Amino acid sequence: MSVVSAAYDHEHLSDDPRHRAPLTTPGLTASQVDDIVARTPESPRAPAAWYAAFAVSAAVAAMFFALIGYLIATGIGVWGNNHPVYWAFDITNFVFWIGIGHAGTLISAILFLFRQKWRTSINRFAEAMTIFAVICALIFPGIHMGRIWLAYWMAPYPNQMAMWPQFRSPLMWDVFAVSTYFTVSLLFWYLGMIPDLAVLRDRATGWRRKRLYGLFALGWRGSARQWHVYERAYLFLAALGTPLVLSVHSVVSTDFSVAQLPGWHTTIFPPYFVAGAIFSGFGMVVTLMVPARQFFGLKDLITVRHLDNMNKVILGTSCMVGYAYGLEFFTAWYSGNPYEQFVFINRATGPYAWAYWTMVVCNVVIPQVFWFRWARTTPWLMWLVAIGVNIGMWFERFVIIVTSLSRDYLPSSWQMFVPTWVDLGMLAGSFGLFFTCFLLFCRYLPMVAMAEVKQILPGAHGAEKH
Amino acid sequence: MAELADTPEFRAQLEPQFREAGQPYLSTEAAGDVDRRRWFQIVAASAVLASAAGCRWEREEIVPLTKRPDRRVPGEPYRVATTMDLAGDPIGLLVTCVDGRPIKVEGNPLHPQSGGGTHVFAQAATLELYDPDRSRDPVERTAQGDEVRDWDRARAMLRARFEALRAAEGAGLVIVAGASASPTLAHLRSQLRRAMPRMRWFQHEPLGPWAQAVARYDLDQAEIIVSLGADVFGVSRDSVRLTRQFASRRDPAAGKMNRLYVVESGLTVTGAAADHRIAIAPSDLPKFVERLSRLVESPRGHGSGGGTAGDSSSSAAWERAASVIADDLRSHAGRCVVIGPDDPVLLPQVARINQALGVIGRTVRYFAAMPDDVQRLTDADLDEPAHTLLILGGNPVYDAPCDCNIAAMIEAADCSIHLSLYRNETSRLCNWHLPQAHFLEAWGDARTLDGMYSVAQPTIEPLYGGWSAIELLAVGLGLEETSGRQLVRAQFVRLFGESDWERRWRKALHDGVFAEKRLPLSPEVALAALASGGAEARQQAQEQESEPQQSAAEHRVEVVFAPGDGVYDGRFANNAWLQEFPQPITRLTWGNAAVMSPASAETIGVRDGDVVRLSARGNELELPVCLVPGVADGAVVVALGYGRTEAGRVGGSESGGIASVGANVYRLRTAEEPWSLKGVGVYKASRREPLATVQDHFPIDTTGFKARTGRAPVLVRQADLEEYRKHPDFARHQVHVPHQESLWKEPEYRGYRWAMTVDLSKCVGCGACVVACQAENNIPVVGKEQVIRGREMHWMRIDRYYAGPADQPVVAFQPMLCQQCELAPCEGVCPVNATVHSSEGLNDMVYNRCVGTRYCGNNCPYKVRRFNYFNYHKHLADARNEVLKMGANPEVTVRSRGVMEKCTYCVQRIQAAKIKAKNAGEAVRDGAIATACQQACPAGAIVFGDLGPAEGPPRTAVARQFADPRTYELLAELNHKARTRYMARIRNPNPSWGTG
Repeated sequence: MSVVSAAYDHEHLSDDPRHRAPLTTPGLTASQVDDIVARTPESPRAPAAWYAAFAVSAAVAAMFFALIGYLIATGIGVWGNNHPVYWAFDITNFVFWIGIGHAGTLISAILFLFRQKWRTSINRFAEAMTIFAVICALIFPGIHMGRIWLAYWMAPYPNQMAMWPQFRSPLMWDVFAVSTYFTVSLLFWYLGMIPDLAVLRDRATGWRRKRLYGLFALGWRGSARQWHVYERAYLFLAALGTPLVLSVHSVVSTDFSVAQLPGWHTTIFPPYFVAGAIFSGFGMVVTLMVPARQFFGLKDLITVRHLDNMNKVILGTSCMVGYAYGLEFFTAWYSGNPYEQFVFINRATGPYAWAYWTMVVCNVVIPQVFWFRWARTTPWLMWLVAIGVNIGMWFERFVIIVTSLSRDYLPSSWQMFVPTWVDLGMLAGSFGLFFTCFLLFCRYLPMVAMAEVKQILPGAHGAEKH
Repeated sequence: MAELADTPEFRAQLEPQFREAGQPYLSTEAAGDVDRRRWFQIVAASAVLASAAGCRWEREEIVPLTKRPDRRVPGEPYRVATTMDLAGDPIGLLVTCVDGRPIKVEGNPLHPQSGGGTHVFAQAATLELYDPDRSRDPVERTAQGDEVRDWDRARAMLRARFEALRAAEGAGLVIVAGASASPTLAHLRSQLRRAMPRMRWFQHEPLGPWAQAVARYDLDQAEIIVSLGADVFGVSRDSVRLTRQFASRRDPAAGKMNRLYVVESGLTVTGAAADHRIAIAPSDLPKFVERLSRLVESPRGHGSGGGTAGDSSSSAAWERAASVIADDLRSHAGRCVVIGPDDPVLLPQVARINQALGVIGRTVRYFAAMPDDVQRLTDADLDEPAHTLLILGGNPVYDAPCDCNIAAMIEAADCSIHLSLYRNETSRLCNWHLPQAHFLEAWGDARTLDGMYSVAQPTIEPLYGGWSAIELLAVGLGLEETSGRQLVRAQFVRLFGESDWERRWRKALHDGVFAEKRLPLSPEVALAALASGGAEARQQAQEQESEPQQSAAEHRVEVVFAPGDGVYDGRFANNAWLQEFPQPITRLTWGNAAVMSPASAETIGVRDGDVVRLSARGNELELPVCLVPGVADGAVVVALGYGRTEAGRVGGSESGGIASVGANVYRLRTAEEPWSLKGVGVYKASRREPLATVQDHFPIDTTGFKARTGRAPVLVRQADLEEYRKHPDFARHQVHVPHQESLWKEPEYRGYRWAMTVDLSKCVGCGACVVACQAENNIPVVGKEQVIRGREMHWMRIDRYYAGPADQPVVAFQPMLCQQCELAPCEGVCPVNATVHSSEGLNDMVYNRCVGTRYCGNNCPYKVRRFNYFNYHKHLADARNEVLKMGANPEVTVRSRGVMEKCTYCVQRIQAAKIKAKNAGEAVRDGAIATACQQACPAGAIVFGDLGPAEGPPRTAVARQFADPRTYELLAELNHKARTRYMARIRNPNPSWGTG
């Protein structure tokens, strides 16, 4: 039921709200929304594809934890890191996953503050993606440490050594930024889910489900006072989450920009990384969303317009990222610093040129197809482009980290980085973990923010049309 | 719980559970009826017992000495003077010992061969001493297999054999030994000959001397030095002394600089140090020598194309070069030297050149290569069977030339006995193997060719009760006194006389050398006696080579045999420090390669890393290709000393199932032409082999190549002498350093300000500092695979850069260690404060705080930090390797897995000196502290010390170096304020080069 009347304006160019493309299938009622969203958590058996996907993801996630155990028992040497490439897949994966998380917070928080109603059917989904992405991300800076069992030394607690961590280090800022980010995102996501968990509780038939959903619904009754508190809290957390979108990845980018390595030491990184994070995040959202709305029957709630909007964000951030690539070259040339100039020429023409050009093509060239409306509104095509974005953004971090480290100031210490099977296994494994969590989310939790969608239904505020 | 544990009934109930692991815990048969309460008691008590039994930590008993040895404080290091006799080339050493065992070798400043410096082989000696693969017991090969014997039996066997031999006047006794500088050994040999006149004594030394004379050079007086096919600063006789002498005249501010011309086939450190270098194929070297000889003796003879083969552009080039060199030599007659190769045909010709220049006796002397009564093994008639074949040290089965069938000789002997450190390839063929005492645990002595006597005293009792060669000969001679100490002391008295011998002996033991009286010079060889008799044989051999071979090899090359930079002739193949020691030019570790020029590789059609098969006279071997610019076209340089089959668990052991490191090049080597072989067939094998280099290979993608070539002059700043005279501070202005403003108040240093300079004019790239650092700081060895991954742990490395065209490269070395930046980039990024700055300017690494995020490594522009990616000391947990722990420096922490480490300016030495000075109530004197690298350097290129107060004239050596206009800071534009500075390399080219 995703037929849209020709009278509606797909381009949102008209200022007349009556002519905008609908956010949901016309004629949807609130209880129908409930039905659609609660269908999956309530069904006794998930779709067959879910079981297959879950089995695979869980196996891959199990492999991930096994590899982590192997790494901690044996040493960082099971990766391909060496002197001078001290960071490689570990930090690439960390930045990759953190970046992905930013889309969720942007959709949830920033678009909320901007009163973008179309966010309502995708924000729950995207926030869940953020949570799971941050979980995957957090694992990497943990396991990349040579002596992970002393990781607690990075926490500023009073101790018998009278030692504080070194607060000038961007890794310490990471600790605070990412833990703040995780905490706020988790709270935001959970808080937003409370009315929906209450819906599931109220619709639940078995006592187990009722108890479980009831436990997490925290006794939500839907009274006016509770709604009032809820709205205030939601706004408050959105306001907290908004600066995080900009600050967290800026802080993560200072891991690089504070270092004086050519190719890292540049002030463009914070905005560039934030744009890239949003870019990769939306890429992942689209990657997940297109199949999910197909398999879980959410096409009524997540319409082509949502996809269209997300693709516009992808296009916009792709252009920003492309601009940043170009500007880096310009800055290097203008600086006259031979080491800086070399880094960029080396990226494009050196031994890792294949990674660089993959990055450029996937990030800058391919998403340009989204200038065309038919591309923006064709699900299978956008899915492919989004996959490309994921790949391209992973390679961006790889290129930044590995090419800069493998050839820096002294040619005598130049060395290639070659990943080992553990590197590749952990990369795959992190996806396994991510998808395992995500599949569990899809199966047992409300994928769409029912309460919020109901607020934007035509007729929600008493008007006949909209 | 204690009372509970002690009741007998309780013990009875416990026992079955401990004895039978497979039994269920509460088996009613074993434990009887156990109710719930009893079960809890048992569980608790067994936990108590387990800890009471102390099975978590091993029991160790520490037994202190009841009577402390004189002036020995437990835990405080002391020094013992000794001498290392490496293939007849002695070098005086001071060995640092602690608690009765040696841990570090230093040079003995009083010994002329050392002057304070050492070579890599001396630095790695302690690891050889503590090698767990050393043989520990005498072994006899019987029909039933290999039997371990005790020393008494071995002694009895020897005595019996020698008695029988004495009766036969020594007929049937063959002794094969390496070269030795020991007067005691020489005396015992002459005693043997008196007792057994028909005995035969053969000398076998794979690295020479192969010529009929040994040249001893003195570069102090030489203003022009010409080296023809001789790597004098590399693996060579007197390398430490010659490096020191050469380097002493490379500082333009310290007097007139010398000038070095090098003509060679491979690219060696000597060639890298040259002011002018020519690459020439080995078969062309005789022509060059002849040309040079003619030009020196009759200067008007020069003109192009003097009847030699072909007038290719390269030969015309070296003809011009020969004339320029000859002119330079002639204008410095009496103050120059021509260093010749170890070749029986060429050495006499070079000697004649030296005579014409009037320098014999001043910068060069020629001594007999071997004592009169000793013959070279390869000249011996091996067909006459031996009754008793005694091999003292060495490994002739492995390293004798391929046409010398020593294995057959051993088989044919009635009884063969091998005295050696390891049960190696030769030992396994001999009837008896006797463990040899290492030089660090045995008495000995040595004399230099110019008469300086030095003593070798043990630093520890023989770990496995081994014998030294002199002790074994004494047993054979049936002497009453067979202890090494008595033998050496008796020889001392014989050499220096009875009067006052006790005081003199004590002085010799204390100083290591006995400088009060020189021994007479070794027998010199007069020029006339230097017959070039080998010329005909050489020509015959060469003609044989140029006959068409059966196999149709598309390409033929001239193989150049070079000594292994770390493994020497192969004797150090089981020394992990030396296997992992990067060869100075190729930067290769853990193996050898077919080193050739890019042009040669293109001709053959191979790339770097392709495996080629070298084939000659029915023998072949496979080696990976390593491209090095500047190697003579058509020449392939291969390193000896690899492909060992019974070296041990490090170098390769067939019996132990450990793969050989590298390929055995001795299979191609003949006695006639030990240093090169013409007409060797080259075939491309269809596989590739990774080269474990610690630095980029020469061939690299274009982007990298351009950058690397462009940066080398900025990193290693060089200038010709003329340019230096015009702009002495050229090095400081080569890179524009912007005004460096600080955002905050920088710390002031009021106490000591430690700093270091490295003089690139003096450094020849020998690498002694690298191994010294490894020995001093307990740096682990990581193995070939890890080096390929890029994880070698050396804190000090010597970077090697090429500049200029591929056929005439300029090679630059740069020792790289932690620059101890005052504004260190690594400090600001460590999240846990594991790397901090001391008040004296050191960047301190706090190992036990490091959590291993490796951010500091990323932020170091010099990439001097090393991360422990694995537990590289895991092998120490094996009981077999326990002995290795003895060699660790107790003053330096052994780092665990997951921790970053780096050069500390030998902070343990700094602290020791400060404590000592503080106890004495004074400040640390300038020169009281020598870092390991500084102390080992033969060239004296490293100067370390306190910069002193910031105001006022420089008062210390390092402060004076800092003030020298040649001194520059590496990457100064990054505002690190590094405390390690480099002094630019000044070269002294001949102004008429290239215009003649």
